[in-house]
Formats: sequence, structure tokens, C-alpha cells
Amino acid sequence: MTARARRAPMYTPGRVFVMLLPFLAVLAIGFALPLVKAVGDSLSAGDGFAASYSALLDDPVFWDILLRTIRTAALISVICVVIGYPTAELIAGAPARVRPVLLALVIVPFWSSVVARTYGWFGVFVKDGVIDSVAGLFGGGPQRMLYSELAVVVGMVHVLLPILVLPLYAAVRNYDERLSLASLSLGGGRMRTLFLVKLPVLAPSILAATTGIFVIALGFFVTPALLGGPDSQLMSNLVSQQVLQRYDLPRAQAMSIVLLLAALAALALSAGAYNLLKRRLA
Amino acid sequence: MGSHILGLQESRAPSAPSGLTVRGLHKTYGQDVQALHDVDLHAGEGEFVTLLGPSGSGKTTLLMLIGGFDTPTRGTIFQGSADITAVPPERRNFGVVFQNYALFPHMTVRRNVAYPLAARRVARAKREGRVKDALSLVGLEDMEDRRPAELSGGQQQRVALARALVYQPSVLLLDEPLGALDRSLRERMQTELQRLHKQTGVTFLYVTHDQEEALTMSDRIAVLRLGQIEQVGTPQDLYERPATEFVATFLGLANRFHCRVLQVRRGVAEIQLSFGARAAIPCADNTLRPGMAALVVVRPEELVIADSEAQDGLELQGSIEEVAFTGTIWRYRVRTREGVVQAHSICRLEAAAGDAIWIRWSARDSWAIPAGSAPAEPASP
Repeated sequence: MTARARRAPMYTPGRVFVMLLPFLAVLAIGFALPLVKAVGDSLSAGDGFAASYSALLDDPVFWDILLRTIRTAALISVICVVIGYPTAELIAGAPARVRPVLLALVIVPFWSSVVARTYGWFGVFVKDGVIDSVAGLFGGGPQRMLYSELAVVVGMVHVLLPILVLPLYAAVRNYDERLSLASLSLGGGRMRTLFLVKLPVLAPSILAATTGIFVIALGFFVTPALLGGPDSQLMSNLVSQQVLQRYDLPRAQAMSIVLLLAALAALALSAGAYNLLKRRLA
Repeated sequence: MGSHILGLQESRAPSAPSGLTVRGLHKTYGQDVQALHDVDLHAGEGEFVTLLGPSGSGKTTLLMLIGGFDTPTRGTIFQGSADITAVPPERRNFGVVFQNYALFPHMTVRRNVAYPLAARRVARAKREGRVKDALSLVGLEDMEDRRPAELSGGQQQRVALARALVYQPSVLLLDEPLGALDRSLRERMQTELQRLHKQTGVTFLYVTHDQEEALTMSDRIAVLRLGQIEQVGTPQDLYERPATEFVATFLGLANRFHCRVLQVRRGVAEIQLSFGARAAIPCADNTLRPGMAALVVVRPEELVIADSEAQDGLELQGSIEEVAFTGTIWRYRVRTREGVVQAHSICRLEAAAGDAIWIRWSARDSWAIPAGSAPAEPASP
């Protein structure tokens, strides 16, 4: 074989770097620089090092909203799994001809604008909206659901559900159904098979998908802004308020960074748990 | 002895006879995909029955129906005299070993093997001993704390067997359990499976596409083709007295010579071969009628290669096309006017490729079957 016949590898590290340059530039200008600047500004603003942080940590309202954000994100993640896993099972188990239709029912909303979908719920919860009309049929009065925490949770579950269903569907499809058949043949009933065999085997995938939902929910803005009231604002709404209404940029930056740290902590915890689960399976 | 080894001195409960009978089983998928067509089969208590067939013959479908993982379109499955067609798999008390073993990856070997005991609510204290017994039955004593991923293929296979035998099932269903193992390990596991079968006394229903495996291990073999049972019999029956050309060619090599039936007596057909010779060839009752086109089946080891004509009995002139040594036998490909003929010899002959020779065989060692069924796909030699 001659040297000419051997083709040079198409993707040398140098070429890959050149091809990645536009992406890296956008990432640097749009993400890394602002982040570094936000960290720097938030640490140096006011009198003394990290003054905006200590002010923040002394503010009970901040703690309230941070905990509410984490609680809401956790609640949404749990609701999404409880609804999303059976949905994924249903789609994966559907006849081959029906499956694409069911998948489309999940994907099409996923492709639609979050604002539009949230406004859909607005019409449901608003005074004299769908819920009030239905309640009226049964003699009930206005339900005052708009601007409640419930409205925020329902809206966010709806928006985030596809992001959970799609990876879970893939995981269920990849699951070796013979494990369940083996469990049945060994005398394990349907419940034992589900809880002691199938779910433990799927656990890493479920954990990964749920962590995704949790982290996205932590920073969610549009739905709580539109459907939530003053008592159901989440961290991102508070940040926006600091910027747009109080012009307190360092405080907003400090809040964002605390939120970012919370998300990173969640990811780290989840990654640890994931590795633990994976090791049990490997 | 088996019960003893598995830690239960009491003998098998007499209320659960393990004889299995399948009657008129049909399985159709969707509108028109017929996976099984009118299958009848019986496996006696403690028998080793193999379902043998090429891929797509319905053997795994049949096993899955017997295991209760799928419901037949029509037909009945009996255990003893009890109709179990509608009994769910978890209540059939059958053991199943899947081709990929289907060990639970998140459990240790101990928990895998204890799983069926836990499902049967066997007291925790008793489980330990029975798990140990089952693992020693398959020769895996020191692996209890390992996970399946830490075991070799052969070891995983043994764990799967231990797990399927620990609760003393009445029937063990095995779906190509040796398919993923390399050749030498496969041969060792064959011996191992036969030993387990003898030792436990459990009825084995074994699916394979490997004819050698089927011949070696089974008490009886059911050959499946296109969703139907082609023939059921002992390995020797099938090899020496195949019912169809498919069975003849699927189990080992078979030379076939076209002939016409002249006359049929009990168990013997008077035939005229297409190259002129006449002979009385053994055949099964009620398969041949005078005037029918038939085939004379001769196994390669029944053919004798000679350098001259004998002019008595069945013989054909030809020339050697190829000589191959396999380690145990010499294989000769001989070109004749009836096509290529395979002859095996345990000793080396003087003949070499290109030589003109005569092949000869005795009518006694041949077998006549009706022509017209299709031969098996060229299998691995």
C-alpha cells in the first residue's frame, strides 16, 4: 500500500479547533465573559468584598424565594416523572403504527413557543376563563386560580413534560424486555417486576432526565412571570425585578450566581447518584 | 437425588405432574403473519425435548407460548391433565433460561438466585441454604457477591441455570442458552446441561438451531419448519429415518437420489433409481405409494468409494472433485451424473482429486422418502 492510498484523517485536532472557532467565540462573548463579569461585579460592588452577597443572605425575602424555587422545581420534577414515566411506557408499548402519532403529540407542543403555551393556561385559569365556566356549570363561583402557585406548577409541568418524556421513552425502548419476562417466569408478579427489576434498571435514565427538569425549572422565567402572582414568583422573576424595576444590577448578579450554584450543586449530587446507580448496573 | 441436592428432601409434589402437552396450537401475528400452525407436541415428565429449526421456524414462539409470555391464537397447553393456556407465567412454576441469560444487572449473584425464592415468600433463613445448593449444583460456589457484569459468559449461564432451578420448577424452558458461547465452552456446557437434567429430573424443553447440539443432548427432537412440526423423534430416528427431505438435510448431510416407487410392501419400497438401478429400500409406513416420485437418502458415511465396478447393488460412477481432512474423517466430494455426492471415510483412501472412481452403498443403509418437500438451506457443514 502506498502512502497516497492512505487518506489523511479528515478531522485533525487543529481542524476541529478551527471549525469550532465560531461556536467558541459565541460561547465566550455570550456566556463566559458576562459570567466572569457578573461574578466580578457582584463581588466588588458596594463597600467591602462580596457586600451584595452578605446583604442578600441577610434578606429573608431572598431566602423565601430561593427555597420556594427549589421546592417548586422539586415538586415539578416529581409530578413530571409520575406523569412522564407511564406516558413513556405507553408510547414505547404502543403498536408500531400508533407510536409516531403519540410521539408527535409529545413533540409538537415541545416545538411550540413557551409563551404561547403558557398563555393557553392563562386562558384556562383567568377570571371567567375555562375553569371558572366549568365551575359555574356546577354552581361554583370564581376559582381565583390565576396568579397562584398551583397555576405556576401546572403551567411548568406542561411546558417541561416533553423534555422528560422523550429521553424516558428512549430509555424504555432500550430496556431489555427479557429481564421482565425472566422476572415473571421466576414467579415475580407485575408489581415486583416493575419495582424490583424494571425501575431499578431504568433508574439512572430516570434520574438523569429528572435532573434535567429540575435544573431547567430552577431558572424558569416565563411561566411563573405570566401565571404566578406576587406570592408565587421564582428566583428568575426576582432577578428580573432587581434589574428592571430597582436597577440593582449587583444584587441581581449575586442572586443569579447563587441560583447557578444551586443548579450546579443539584447537578453534582445527581451525577454522584447516577454514577452510584450505574456502577450497580455495570 | 435432584431434590436432595436442591435442599429439599421431600420429593416433588405429586399434584404437579410435569408432562407437557401442546394441542392444535396456532399463533398468528396481526392479520396474516402465521408464526405457528397446528402444532401438537408432548414432552413426558423428566424428558429432554429439543425444538430444532432454522430461524423463523417458530421454535422460539412455541417456547414463549409454553412459558406463558404470549397467548396462542388457538389451541391448548396442558400440564399433566390441567389446561394451563390461560395461566400467567408467574404462576406456571416453569424455569426459563433466555439466550442472553436475562440476569438482573443491579443484583448480586446471590440476590439473582434468591429472587424466585423471595417472590415465593420463602423464609429468609431458608433462602441462603437453597441459593448455596443451587450455585453448587452449577459449580459456582464462590461467586455469590459478584455482579453479573463481573462474570464470564459461561458463568452468567450457570447463574441463569441456578436461578431457574432453585425453586424446583416442573419444567425448564431453554431458549438457545448456548448461542452466545464459543465452541469449546458450548461443548462443556452441553455436558453440563445433560448432567443437570439427569440430576434434577426436571423436564427440559430446549430451543436451538444447532443440529449437532440437538442430536447430542436430546431424548427426542421436534423439527420445526415454517411454523409447523415436520417430525418428532429420537435423534437416531430423525437421522436414520427422516420423514422429509427437509429433516434429512437439516440434520447432517444427506445425499439424495431421485427414484420412482414401483411397489410398496410393509416398511420396504421397491424403487427404480433415475440412473436405472432397482432396489428395495426401507421406508416409513404409509408414506409411499406405487408410481410416486421419491428420494433415496444416503448419509455420506454409508457411501463406499471403490476403484472398480462391482455390478451388484447400488453404485454410481464418478470422479473425485475435492478431498478434505477434518481431523476425524476424510471428506470426498464426488461428481456423478446424478450431481455432486458427499462421501465420508474414517481412513484415507488411495484416491486423489481427479481420479475416476465408483461409489457404492447398500440398500439397507438407505432410506426412501417422498419427493417434493423442500430441502433445508445449506447449513454449516
